[in-house]
Amino acid sequence: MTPDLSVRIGSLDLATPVLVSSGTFGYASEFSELVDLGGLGAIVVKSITLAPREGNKPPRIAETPAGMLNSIGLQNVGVDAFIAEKLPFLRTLPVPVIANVAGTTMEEYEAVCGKLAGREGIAGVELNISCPNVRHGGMEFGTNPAAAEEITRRCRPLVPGPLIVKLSPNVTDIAAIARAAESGGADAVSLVNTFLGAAINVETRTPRLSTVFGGLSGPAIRPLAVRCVWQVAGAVKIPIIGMGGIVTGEDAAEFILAGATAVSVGTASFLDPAAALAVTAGLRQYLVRQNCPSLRDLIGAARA
Amino acid sequence: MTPPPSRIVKIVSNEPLTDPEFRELQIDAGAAAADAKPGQFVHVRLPGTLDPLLRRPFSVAGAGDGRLTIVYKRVGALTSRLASLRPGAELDMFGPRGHGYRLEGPKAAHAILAGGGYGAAPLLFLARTLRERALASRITLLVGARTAAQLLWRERVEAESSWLDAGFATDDGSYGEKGTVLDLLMARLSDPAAGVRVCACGPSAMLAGLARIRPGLPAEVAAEGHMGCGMGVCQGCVLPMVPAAGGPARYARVCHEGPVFDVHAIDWAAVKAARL
Repeated sequence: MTPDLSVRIGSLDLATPVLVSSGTFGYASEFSELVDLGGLGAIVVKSITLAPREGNKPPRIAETPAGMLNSIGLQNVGVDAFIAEKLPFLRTLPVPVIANVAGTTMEEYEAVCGKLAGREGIAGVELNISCPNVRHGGMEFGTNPAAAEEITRRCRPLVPGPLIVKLSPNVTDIAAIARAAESGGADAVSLVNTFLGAAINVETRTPRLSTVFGGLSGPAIRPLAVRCVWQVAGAVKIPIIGMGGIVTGEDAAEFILAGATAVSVGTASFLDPAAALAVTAGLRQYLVRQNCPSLRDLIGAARA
Repeated sequence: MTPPPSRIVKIVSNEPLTDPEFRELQIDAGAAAADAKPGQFVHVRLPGTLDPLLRRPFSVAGAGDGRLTIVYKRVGALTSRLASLRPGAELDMFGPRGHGYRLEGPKAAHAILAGGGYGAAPLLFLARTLRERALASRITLLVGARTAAQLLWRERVEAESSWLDAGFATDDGSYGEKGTVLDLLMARLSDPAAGVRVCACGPSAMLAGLARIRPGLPAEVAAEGHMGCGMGVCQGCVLPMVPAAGGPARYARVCHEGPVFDVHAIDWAAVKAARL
């Protein structure tokens, strides 16, 4: 039996449900000689802002138990250079490419979505309203339901394909934010972005990140992320893309069983550039072992 | 068929150096050894565990006959575990990656290689490569450390005296000159230093000092960074570069544009402020 892994996110058909997360896969070209990119469900590229951003001062990374803190600060080339320099390669790929859009004002999100609208090679947009590492870095839109709904509503007409809203877990009630994104017209929500954290070097008595706080990712956050997906799955009807510390096919299955339609691999790509393909293979083996012909039968199955 | 991005490799030997906090590790690396260039790094993790999670970069300290050599100090969780591994144990290795020391272009009249502490690790490999490729008429290797025991591979360096001019410095004067490797370097710079090419590796305070020795002295330095991916994607390991006049901050990735940089391109004041 070859299990059916295909899923649908809005109007987008994905051959496999395993995506690669924004900020952990660059603009994909970096991986082209190392990984069979055609085996990915979709590629979510690094956050794009209106103007180029230099990013935060180093140190930007600190390792913690089974996890890492990062404070990159949305370093990116800006939307114009993205279109001119990165999109031509992405357009050649046989898998959907989703642009992750970030900003500091609603107008900036609209402007970036507007510039990307209708470009060949962009299958959809993920709104990053959850970056914890930039002052006014969008997380204020992701922590307030009214703002989350408004920014989704304003970007909606500017995005021809699926519009995904990426949620922050640094909130009291993530389900309320997810409902707001759904009301605003999102086709899907993706969660979770990183958890705000800090680490201190006790020998030097100084924070280990230049910004003190950073976003925690990796296997350390997986139970927290599965909980968030479970909560959101009980609150919205649109599909969920689940992520947070996925390394194996079984990790991915946890998110699916909690209610996610698709999953995304992030930090694990730093350990192994081909991690998302290993997760896909593991998920396929899991379905065979479970005697389950289609992944879609497992979505939310743990909730029954 | 694309080679796998990372591979399981076996440890050939894992021996303490004269100061047992420092160890030399040989890896059976197959074809990867033939590709390694001095100044590049291998990105290593322990298979079968998610803690430590990330890979660690180690400068290639030697390559040949299918083997790669690295030198490491026991400082954290991964290197402590590494120190306990025996020959035959497996590591997950990615690389060699990054841009090493310049191996083409004009032949230098005098290549001076300066290493501080176990930062000297790639420099004997570099000296041999420069000699094989006839990239310098004369090669000097200077090694500095706190104590005589911490001078990396002193006897091995001295055994090459037929072609390699060597100098040693220790903070406590227990071997060679009492002082630093930069003191040795300054004493050997002719005036003006025509045709001299400096290649250095060591703590950032030493490399920052090198930048101040003489304006315009051509010097390449291998830098360190807290790496996430090691392949230019995560933007985690960046080093501040000298910005354009009045321009915004500029960063370069140690893993991708580096680890070897022109010493004068790095913004050393920003490096110091960031405690890198």
